[in-house]
This record gives sequence, structure tokens and C-alpha cells, in this order.
Amino acid sequence: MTVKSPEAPPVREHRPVPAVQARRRPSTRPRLLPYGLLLPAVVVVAVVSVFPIVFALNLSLHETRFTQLEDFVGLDNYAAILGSSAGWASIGRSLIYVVASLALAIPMSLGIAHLLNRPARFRLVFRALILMPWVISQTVAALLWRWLLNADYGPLGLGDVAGTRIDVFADPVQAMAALILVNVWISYPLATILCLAALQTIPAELEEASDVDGAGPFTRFRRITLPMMAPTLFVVAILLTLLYFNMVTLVLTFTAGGPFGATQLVSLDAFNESFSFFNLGLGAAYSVILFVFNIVFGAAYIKLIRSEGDG
Amino acid sequence: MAESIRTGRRKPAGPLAYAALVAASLFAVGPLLWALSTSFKSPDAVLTDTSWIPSAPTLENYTIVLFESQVPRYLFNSVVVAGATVLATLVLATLGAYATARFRFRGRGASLFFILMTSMIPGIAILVPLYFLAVEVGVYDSYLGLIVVYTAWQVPTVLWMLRGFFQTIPTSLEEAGRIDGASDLRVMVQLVLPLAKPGLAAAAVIAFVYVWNDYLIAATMVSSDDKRLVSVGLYNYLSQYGIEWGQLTAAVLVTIVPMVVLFVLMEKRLVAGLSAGATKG
Amino acid sequence: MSVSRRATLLRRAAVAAAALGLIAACGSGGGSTSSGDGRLELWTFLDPNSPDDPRGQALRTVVDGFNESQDEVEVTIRNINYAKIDSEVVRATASGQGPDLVNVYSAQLATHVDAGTVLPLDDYAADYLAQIGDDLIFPLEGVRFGGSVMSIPWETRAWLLWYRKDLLDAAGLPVPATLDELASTAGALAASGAAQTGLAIGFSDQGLGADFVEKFIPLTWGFGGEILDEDGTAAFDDDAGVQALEYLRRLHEAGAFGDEVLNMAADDVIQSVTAGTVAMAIEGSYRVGAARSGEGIGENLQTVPVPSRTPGEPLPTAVAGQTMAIGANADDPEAAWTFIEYYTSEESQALFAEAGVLPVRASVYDTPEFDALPNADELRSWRDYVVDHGRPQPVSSRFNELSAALVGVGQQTVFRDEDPREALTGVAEQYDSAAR
Repeated sequence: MTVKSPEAPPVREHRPVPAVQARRRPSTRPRLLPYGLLLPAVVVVAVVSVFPIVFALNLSLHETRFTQLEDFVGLDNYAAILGSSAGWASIGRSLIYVVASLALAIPMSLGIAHLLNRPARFRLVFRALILMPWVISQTVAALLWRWLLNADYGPLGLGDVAGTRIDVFADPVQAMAALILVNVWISYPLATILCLAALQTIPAELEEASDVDGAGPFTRFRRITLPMMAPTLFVVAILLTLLYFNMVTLVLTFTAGGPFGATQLVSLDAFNESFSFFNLGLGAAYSVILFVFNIVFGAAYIKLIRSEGDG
Repeated sequence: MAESIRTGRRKPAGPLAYAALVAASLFAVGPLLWALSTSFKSPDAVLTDTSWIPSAPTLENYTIVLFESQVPRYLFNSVVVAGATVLATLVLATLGAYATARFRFRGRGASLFFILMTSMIPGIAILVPLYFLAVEVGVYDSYLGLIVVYTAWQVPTVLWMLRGFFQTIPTSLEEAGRIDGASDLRVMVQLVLPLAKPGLAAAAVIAFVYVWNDYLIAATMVSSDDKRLVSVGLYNYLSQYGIEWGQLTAAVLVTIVPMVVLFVLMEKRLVAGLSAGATKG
Repeated sequence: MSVSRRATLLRRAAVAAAALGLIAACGSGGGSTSSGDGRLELWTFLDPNSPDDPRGQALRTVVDGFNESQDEVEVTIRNINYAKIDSEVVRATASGQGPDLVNVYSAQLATHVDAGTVLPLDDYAADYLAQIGDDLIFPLEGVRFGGSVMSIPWETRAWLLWYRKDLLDAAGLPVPATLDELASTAGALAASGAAQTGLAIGFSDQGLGADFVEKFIPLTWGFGGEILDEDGTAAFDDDAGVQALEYLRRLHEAGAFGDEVLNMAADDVIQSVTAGTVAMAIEGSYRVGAARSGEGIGENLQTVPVPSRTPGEPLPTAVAGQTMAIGANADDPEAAWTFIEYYTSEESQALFAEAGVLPVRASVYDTPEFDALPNADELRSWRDYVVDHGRPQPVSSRFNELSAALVGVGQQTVFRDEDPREALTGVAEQYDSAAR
């Protein structure tokens, strides 16, 4: 899977073709063919994404009453969010949530992928087991973990850990930590499988060669694995970032924003305003803010990978 | 390519690696083991029997889920919608990916950029507008509406992925085909697609799982019970009287089974397909 | 706010969709819910296929009975999860669809009225209401908006003090008769280890804080205050509201409950009562039956009216319940009304009573069928509580928002040191300013 900055042409364009062939059929290649091939995809994406996002932008600039658009209010809805400490607190928590989840999920996926890449007995079994959370929906994941972590009747027995009671849902920091843990649990399998796939393209001979050189595993990882994995890690980072910023169902079911508002994320604000409180305009403003964060992070990754390529 | 690389010898896993694998597996399936255990407990035992091995195992929950609930119907719906989405996504994304990987044309960069941007749109932002659009067009509460939305949602990712995959396939074959007088379309369908199979398989699995897990779109675009998808259908066990844990966990396990089968069948292709497409930057 | 500038989202969607005109070609059918062919669609949170909820079965029997009773129309049921039904009805109605008949929980009715999803029933209900008159024990103010009755109640509920008799007996404690006793009893229960939590009140954000607000309302009333004024502005930020919060704080300090309730919503509280880890709770009458069905619970779970500061004088209870309304886009409101009459008849009420629903019609409580119910006396005691001490739950179309904000205040003031008055004033100002 590649996501790269579109302005930069692919590194290995499989052209020019041999000159003879190129001359042979230069004009018979239908000029409209590529457009015809690409058009259906663009059209479907445009109808389902672009019209609604324009619609949402418009909503965010209006006062709404249930599903009715009322007065144009300019940026008032945004001002209500960005002008309040609660709004910034949500943004801050979203950033913590996303960054901490990434910081856990990516190294973990890389590590597990590395393990799964080595010949081992029951490799298929391990792969199937480790990737299983991938097919668990967010609702179910949240419910199961809520139960596991419950201090009173959870099977992990957190009510009495060497005499101390650990109630993660009563403590703001622990609740956020638990939320991040569950988030990582449902999202690392996709990252792992992408990393695993990328690892398989690294020729074993390269690693052997570095062994001969006497390089330790960490040097090898830094000199060989990491550079070759960079494009994949970039894709993984983008996919996970989008997933995390936009996460609603998991948070709603796991903590619903509590305790003490400690897990109130921008995505949850967007959901509540739109679907629980019927403030569609304000809800749209929250989701546009999410959109902006997605773009900013996406652009930052693109910039990062480009500068790495230069250096 | 991937197949040949895999023949290279890597150091086999040592005891430490096995320990790490077991730990990772436990983290992954621990919660699911608890679900498995709960699914064999009677409603009264669910909260009182706190051991991981049910003291009085019962199949009651499975009987109810399989024969007295709508879960089989939801499963069927999910398979139909996810399957159709995968098909539609693959067709659209393959055409688009091929066009952008093999042809230079005005607007290529812009189109790719546009498609990349749409994948940044948060789902929550467009649920409400999509709902009204679907109602207006007449696809609300139908398989078709779901399939169109999911397809559009998946096309960007899959298109970028397949584009990378096509770029790894040498063009010499196609040139040979063209010399033989085959049209561009024939070249693509008969020569390139067979080579792209692993990539298509990997994309299919990713798109399938996405539809399988999605809750928000499924809950917004469909409201009648007989068209409900499994992720939404599980909500039936969250009643006003509390959660029907036994039945919920049994239903979850019933829905995991087809996915595990799918994964075991597709595992080789999935990894091979991704490894060809993933690293092509 | 000029009316002419209003444009429904629908119209804009239509214009844009027509302009794009793209997926129209491949889409057809689906989704039409009101087709005018003598079929009435009923949207309800009850699941007629539920193997666990007897109310679903009762619903099926009533609907089948109605369909057989006449040839004109046929009612079909669409079941939607209770947490999602309101927003789905609002959206569907805005897009020109929606149900012919819709079940609305009384606390959500204001939202539906404001969103224009239900029809006023004056044209149909006048005779009916005149006829049943005093037989209706549900306070009609709870379903009347702008002078019009908007829905007909078919279920009523009160909030009671639940207690585990076995746990109280084991600890040798009597059932508390005042709020002070409630605090000390609950504290003693927890301290003695009879239960993990003496009195559980759910402070979780789940369910928009409903469990907390269901306690905050009657306590505020009990201290002589109001939640909302006549004109709909916030009134909970006066002394009574502050006293209610201070009482809850006192409960916490007395050890009646600990931090564990921060992770409890109503269903967690009930599960814990069932499991015996919670000794007392203040929960709805409509959940008693389900809670008792657990193994070893039965008669160990008892209820009394919630005590107040004065012995022998219970705290007022909010009265709420399920109601039936006619959808704004109903094809045939006349026919829909016929169904509502059938649905709220004494016979149907008796059927629902068997399924554990507290009837809204007094006469049903005196029938021989009702006498045959195992807990007929208990049900009558609940009716008496509703009739003598019931008040309609405060209504606001922004109740969800208020509820979510109030539980935040509850957390901050009971478990943290935030000043109750300041916190309540903050929420009240926000609530009033948003009303504009």
C-alpha cells in the first residue's frame, strides 16, 4: 500500500519503454483511456465524500435547529469551540490520545511483525491469534475490556492487586491510559500485518551480510530494516492517525468521555453534538476541526518522508 | 518478488522469541478467551461465576443466538454487503490504479491528490449529509446504499495500494502483448491482472474487514432489522435491563469464526500481496 | 431569524443530488416507510422477537390482535435500539419519511415536539381523554405541549429505593426512613462488609448521565427546589440544587459509595444489585421484574418509596413512561389513532401488566387478572406512590445536553472539591444562554 505525495513522481516509473516500441504505436494509444479508467473511482468518491463534506462545511457556518438550517453565523461555531477552554481541552486530549497510541502501536507492531517473520513452529497459529483483534468491532472491544478491567467483578482481579484497589475508570489518567491500551489492542493487527509484509521484502541475504560484518541486532535494525521499512511505516502512521483522530464508537462505549471529562475527545464532541444534542452546526464544526488535524498530520508525514529521502 | 525473497534463510526463533510470541498472543486473545468462557455460562452464572473455566458450562447461549435470534441473518447481510463492497472496490480501484500507474496524463497528480484528500475526511463529518443524500436518491435502508458508501470509503486506500503494486510489475510483458496487437484493455485484463492477484487478495481482505467492523455507517444508513449488519445487530444485546453477556459473547464468537476461516485461507496471499504493494514508495 | 431564510437540509440535499445526478441511476427502491397502502409502520424500542423481554412478546400480541380486529390497516413493527430511536426518528422525519406510529419515552417527547416529528393529538384524543378522565394516573402535563396533547402514555414508572433485604437483615439494619438514615445505613452496610457499595448512584458519563440525573431531580424537589422554571429557564442552581449535591457528597463521605460508582450507569447498578455487591439503589420500578429474575434474588430484592428528610413522608418521584404518538409524516393519522386507542385499551394494558409494565389506567389495577399477578400488591403500592407523590419529569428539548452537563457537575462536586453552587451556576448559565 503506498501513499505518497502526488506531486512527486513515483521513483521507479517503468518508462521510458524501449525506443523502438515507443515509436511503433505512439498515436494508437487512446488518449481518453486513462480518464475512462479513473473516472468511475473519482466519481463515486466525489459523490460520497465531497458533496457531504461541502455540506458539512456549510452546516458548520450556520445555526441549526434540529435538521433545519437557520441563520448564517460565520465562524461562530468555531469560535465557540476554539474560544473555550473546554474546546482546547478536548483538542489537547485528542492529541495525547493519538500520539500516545501511535507511540505504542507502531513499535509494538514492528516488534511483533519481526517475531512473526522468523521461522517458528506454529507460525500460522501465532499469526492467526495475534491478528485476531483485527476482526473485533469497537463496540465489542470496549465492552469486553470494560469488564476485564472492572475492579469489582473483572476477571483480572484489579480490585485487589497486592492489597491496592486499581479502579482505572475512577482515575482520569488511568482511564485515558486504559482507553489508549484498548485502542492499541484493536488497531495494532492491521499495522502488524503491513509491517510483516514489508519485512518480507527485505532480502535475508542483507541481514546475513550484516551479521558477517559483526553488526549487532540494533545496528542491523537501524541500518537495514528501518530504512527499508520507512515507506511502510509512513503508510501505517497515516492510516492509524486517521483512525485514531476519528475514533468515536470505542470511546463512546468504553468511557463515554469520563471520568471528570478525562477522555472527552474532539471526535466524541462531534458525535454528541450531532447525534445526542442535535446541534448539527456545532457538531459539523467539531468534525471540520478533526478534518483539519487529519490534513495537518498527513502533510507532516509527507514532509517528513520527503526530507528523509533527501538526506 | 516476495515469493523468492521468502526462500532466503532467516534465523529461526529462539526461546526468547517464543516467549514473546506467547505473550503477544495472550495480549491479543486474552479478552476473547474471557468472551469464550462467558459464552458458556448461564445468565445467572455470568456475574457470579468469575472463573475463566465455567463451572457449569451450557450451550444455551449458542442455541439462542443461532436458532432464536436474528444473528444468522445479520451475518448473511454482512457477508453480502462486505462481499459486494470488495468486488466494487476492486473493480473501481484496479481501473484507477492501473490508469495512474501506467499512463501519464493531464490531471493525474491532481486526481491522486484528490483521492488522497478524501481519505482524510472524518466519517463523523459526513454521516448526516450522507443520510439525507441516500434518502433523496432512494438508497437509504438498502444494501445498495451501504455498498456505495463503503466502496467510496475504501477506494482511496485500495487504489493507492494497488497502484504501488502495479508499479512493481515490469512493463515488458505488456509491451510484448501490445506488439502482438492486443488492446490496452486486453493487456490489462489478461496479462497484468493475473500477476496482480496477490495484491488484489490483500486489498480484498482489508476492505472486507473494514466493512465487517464498521458501526457508524451501518447504523446510519440502514434501519430495518432484516438489513442490519452484524456489528449493529450486536447492539440488540445491550438492552435497557443491562447487557445480555452470555448471548452477546456467544454472538461475537459466532461472528469471529467466518473471519478466522477467511484469514487462515487467505493468510499467505494477504502477506505476499501486501509485501509487494506495501513497500513500493 | 427570518423564516424565509430557513431551508431544510433536505431541500439542499435534493438540489445537490439532482445536480450531481449520479448515483440516482443505480439506486431505486429501499427505504420508503410510509407507502399509503393501508400499512402502518410502528417504530419502537421493544423487540417483538426478543427471547428475554416479555414486553416484546406483549407488544406482538397486542399488534396481532389489532391487525385481526379490522381489515382496514395492518400495523408492522420496526424495532430500534432504545438509545438510538430518537435521533433516527428525527432524521427520518426531516427527510420526509419516518414512522406512522412512534413510541416515545416521555422525557424525550419535548425533543420530538420541537423537531416536529409527532402530530398533535387534539383532533383525535379529546373524546378519548374525556372518556377515560381520572382513570389515567399518568400526569397529562407530562405529554402536553403548547396546550396540545402530543402522545398517549401507556406505561408509567416511579423511582424507588431498592434494597437487598437479605443484606440488610444480615447486617441487622432496618430499612431507612429518612435521608439521614439512608446515609448512615448505606455507610454501615459498606463498612460492615455486607456489600461493596451501600447505596449505588451511577455517576458514569454513559447514557448521558441519566442515572445520576434521575436522582438529582427528586432530591432537588425534596429540598424544595425546581429543575426548570415555568418559562423553561434553569432553576436547579438555587439552594435546593446545592443541597441535593451536598447530600450526595455527604453520602460519599459517609462511605455509602466509593469511586466505583464513577464507572456505573443504570444497568451496571442493577447488575451489581443482582450480584449482591450493591445493597441499595434508587432505580425505576420498570426494572424490578428483570432484576428479580436472577438466581437467588427473587424476594430478596424489595422496594419502598424513597425517603425524604421527614419520616413517613416520601420524596417526590419523577413520573415518566413510554408513550405512543403519531408520526408527522403518517399517511393515515385517523387509522394510527385507532391503533393508539387499541394499544392503550384496558385489555392491552392488562397484557402489558403481565409483562411487568405498570399500567397507566387505574381501573386495570382492580381487575381479577391483575389480582392474579404474583406482585399485585406491590404494583398497587407503586401506583399509590405515583398518584400521591408523582410529578412529571422536567421536560426540555435539550434535556440530553443538560443531563450530560449535570453529571459532570455531579462528578466534580461529589468526588472533587468543586463548589456546588458555582458548578451549578455555570451549567445553568450555559443552558440559558444556548436557549437564547
